[in-house]
Amino acid sequence: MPGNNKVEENTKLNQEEYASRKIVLASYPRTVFVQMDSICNQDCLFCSRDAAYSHFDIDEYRERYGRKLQPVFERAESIILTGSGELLALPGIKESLDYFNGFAHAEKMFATNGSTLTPKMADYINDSGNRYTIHVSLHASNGDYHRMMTKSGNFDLIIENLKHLRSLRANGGNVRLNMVFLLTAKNIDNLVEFVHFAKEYGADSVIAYYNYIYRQDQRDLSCFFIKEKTNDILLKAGETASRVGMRITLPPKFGQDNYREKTLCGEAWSQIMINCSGDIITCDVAGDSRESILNKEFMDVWNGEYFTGIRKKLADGDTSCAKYCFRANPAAVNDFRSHIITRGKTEDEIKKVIEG
Amino acid sequence: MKVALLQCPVWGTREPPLAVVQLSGCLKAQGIETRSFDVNNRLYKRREESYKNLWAWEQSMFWYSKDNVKRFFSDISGTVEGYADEILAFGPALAGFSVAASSYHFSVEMAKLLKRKDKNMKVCFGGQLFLDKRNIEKAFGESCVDYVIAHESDIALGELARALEKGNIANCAGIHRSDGTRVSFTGERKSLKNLDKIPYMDFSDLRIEDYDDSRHIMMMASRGCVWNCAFCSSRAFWPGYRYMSGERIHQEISYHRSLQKPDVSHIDFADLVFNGNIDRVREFAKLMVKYPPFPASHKMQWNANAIISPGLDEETLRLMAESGCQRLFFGIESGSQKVLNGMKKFYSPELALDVIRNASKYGIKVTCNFMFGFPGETEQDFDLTLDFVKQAAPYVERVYPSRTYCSLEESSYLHSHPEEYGIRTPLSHHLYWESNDGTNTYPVRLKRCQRFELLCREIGLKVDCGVKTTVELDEYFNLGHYHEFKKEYDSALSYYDSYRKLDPENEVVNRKIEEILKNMAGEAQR
Ligand code: B12
Ligand code: SF4
Repeated sequence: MPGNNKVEENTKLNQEEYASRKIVLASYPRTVFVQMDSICNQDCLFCSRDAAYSHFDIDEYRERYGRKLQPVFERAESIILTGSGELLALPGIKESLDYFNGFAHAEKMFATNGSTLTPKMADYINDSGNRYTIHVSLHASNGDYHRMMTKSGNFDLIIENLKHLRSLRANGGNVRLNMVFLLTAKNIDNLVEFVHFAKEYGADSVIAYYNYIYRQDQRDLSCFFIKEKTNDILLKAGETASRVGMRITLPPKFGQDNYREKTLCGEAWSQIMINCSGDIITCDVAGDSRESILNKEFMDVWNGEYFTGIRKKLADGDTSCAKYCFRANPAAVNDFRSHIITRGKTEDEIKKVIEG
Repeated sequence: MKVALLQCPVWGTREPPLAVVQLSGCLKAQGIETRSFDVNNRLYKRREESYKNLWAWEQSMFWYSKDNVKRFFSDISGTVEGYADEILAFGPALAGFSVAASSYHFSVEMAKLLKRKDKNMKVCFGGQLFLDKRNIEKAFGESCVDYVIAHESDIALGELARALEKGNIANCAGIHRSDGTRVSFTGERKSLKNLDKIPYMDFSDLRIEDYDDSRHIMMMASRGCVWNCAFCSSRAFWPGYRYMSGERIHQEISYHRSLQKPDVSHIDFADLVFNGNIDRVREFAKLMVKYPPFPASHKMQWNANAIISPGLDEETLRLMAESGCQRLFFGIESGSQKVLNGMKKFYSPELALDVIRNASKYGIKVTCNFMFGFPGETEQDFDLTLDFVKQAAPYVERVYPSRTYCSLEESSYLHSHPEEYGIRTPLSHHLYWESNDGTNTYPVRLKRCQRFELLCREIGLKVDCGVKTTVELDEYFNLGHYHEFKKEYDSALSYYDSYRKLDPENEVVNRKIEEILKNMAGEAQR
């Protein structure tokens, strides 16, 4: 097992390279997103899943990328297990987690709808010797809201699982727990209640963010059309959180005149997201990358045309990609296009979604 | 590429067809848009009065006759046409039929209908029926089948779909194909190594609640067997013994519970042997106890086939019972060590008694299967079987005496090594074979079975055999058949006649009598 030296050295170098706007990097990314698509036992209103998509296969992954990614994982601060579907429902998930747990120095993070975070899984994760942060994506504090959002009837099961996690954490467990609330016009009334709920189940924090629109029929879910109400509820949720002592992350409000400045997005220096076909997935607002580690060495991709192109653009002060990104540019929240996933869509299709 | 999966009649209606839900999960996990259609259950649910009993187990023979099925198909043409349109509306480029002997003829009719409506759609047949290569030839002869996969297809079917999309299947191993004139094979495919990675069954199209028992599912958590019993044909399809870990089984059960409401509280394992690896059984049982699938108030119960092995010790059986094991089915087959050795069954009758006693002690209900007249079995050996039953009776819920007594199944060791077992060659018939010395014949085996059942009746042990007819009817029918096969028409007639006295309306028997009389008249004339 490599010592933490490699991680520290890499982090330091990466920070320096970012600060000096280096285009070709000697350092590796500090965060690696691994896309692990899985089946799902819910059918959420806001979901992005296609009718058919391949599931993650750890043997294939190791065979194809194990060698190439070894130095990357050895130096990563965190490994984020993401993807479509319910990660923990993947057949043989423990075998997959065991592989990533082999890089025990790296923090692990994944999201779950909570139904598969069974006591067995929670115990396993807690005993893995790894530091995990789990995002439980509930979007609701009670069965009715939950059923509406997820079109499933497993809220009671989730509660049972959360109770176990709570007692595990209360007894010295090593798992961090964030509760996620995807804000839509359908459930926003439940946000304040959700803060209390998260408190009751001992979460470390609540994370709320706006839904992205993948398909036209999801347009009406957007809080963009209920701006005042949204602002009001975000305010109340923030107040409630500070009253009950719960950390909360809220998205930018609409129509404000005190948005913070656009930041120089560091993601092209610090992180990479790779799917099971080896393709590099970009952030939600950027275009397709057409880069893949399948037939290239990692560093040839990390310092390839796509990454160096973005780094150069950003380093040169061109922040056009933040135009529709309210993470780097909170003011973008006021432009409806920022709420739409444009990747893979033609201008016509985007226009259709915008016009409704 | 879209794939439709079909189950045609006749098949079980208690729960969704296992192969289809398994393959559906596999295809979807490979990113292939798939929809399952259970023609069998649909027709069963909407069956008309005149076909009310067709799905009863005893009526299986109906479906083995091409003429019967063709007639039935045309009688319900409106319904099947409608269903075909529904399937085609999904837009499949490939239709995969899960086929067994009982569903073969209907699958052919359905495939023809689909192809008539959509000439471009390809048809692939698969299932254990095609272990016998002659069935592959036969299927291609129907001129509606493009591909046959005669092996496990969890990966193969998806790869076929992908290869078809690319327009070249030459590199996709395991596919038999026909271009209308020539049949070819793309080469052997390796079996799956790690069953833990098989995707879960997918019940999203075929919902459990649409079947006869909405509280129940079936699952096959291992493939193959650790033994190779001389008479066995079931293991031939599945090479070796491959199994899911206890963890994987527990995970899948918990998953279905999270999805299918808590109502699903019973599982039948379709494994040939559930305890081929005892560690995984213990692991599974421990997990079910420590982490009962939610809600714990609806305890999950399970049944499985098992072999007698020292691993099934008292502690393991206690744990299994605690984890929800309700019933175990053992192929005991004989109470004679000599016969067991001949069968290549690796246990002693004493161990079998121990296991059964311990299982019963912890409340697991035990079913034992028995065979009669295995080559080499003498009257003394058979008496040992009767002794065994007497001793085991207090701990056994019921027995299954084989109503074929001891049949020579194709693809069994016995079938391919008759000389080694003193069976007269050339083989005359899988049921009516005889020993070289003439002491072991079909009527001898039948009589042993009758004595066995008589004893069970005397000691109050429940006898179940999957056949609903009485012992007498069974005897008359089987011996009628046997003598007919041997062209001993007088004896055949007398047995069929005895049958007719008990069941005068039976059409099959009445027709048989007519046929024999005609044959006899013909022979007399000659
Ligand atoms: C469970 C079972 C049943 C259940 C089915 C329940 C259900 N909901 O599906 C019930 C009890 C209903 C049943 C009934 C019958 N069964 Co049954 N059954 C089995 C058993 C134990 C397991 C089958 C199974 O589903 N396994 C799990 C799946 C995943 O495996 P699979 O079906 O083999 O599918 C794999 C491959 O065959 C292939 N495949 C299957 N379908 C397709 C389709 C395509 C397109 C492709 C490409 C591949 C493919 O890929 C699959 C995945 O690898 C097998 C014996 C065994 N242990 O294997 C016998 C078996 C399948 N049954 C058999 C038979 C004959 C019957 C009956 C006709 C009569 C009988 N003697 O039992 C009756 C049907 C009559 C009736 N009225 O219902 C035979 C079939 C052999 C044959 N020549 O047809 C078998 C093999 C037993 C045997 N050795 O005799 N059965
Ligand atoms: S134990 Fe059962 S499945 Fe295994 S070989 Fe013997 S008869 Fe066949």
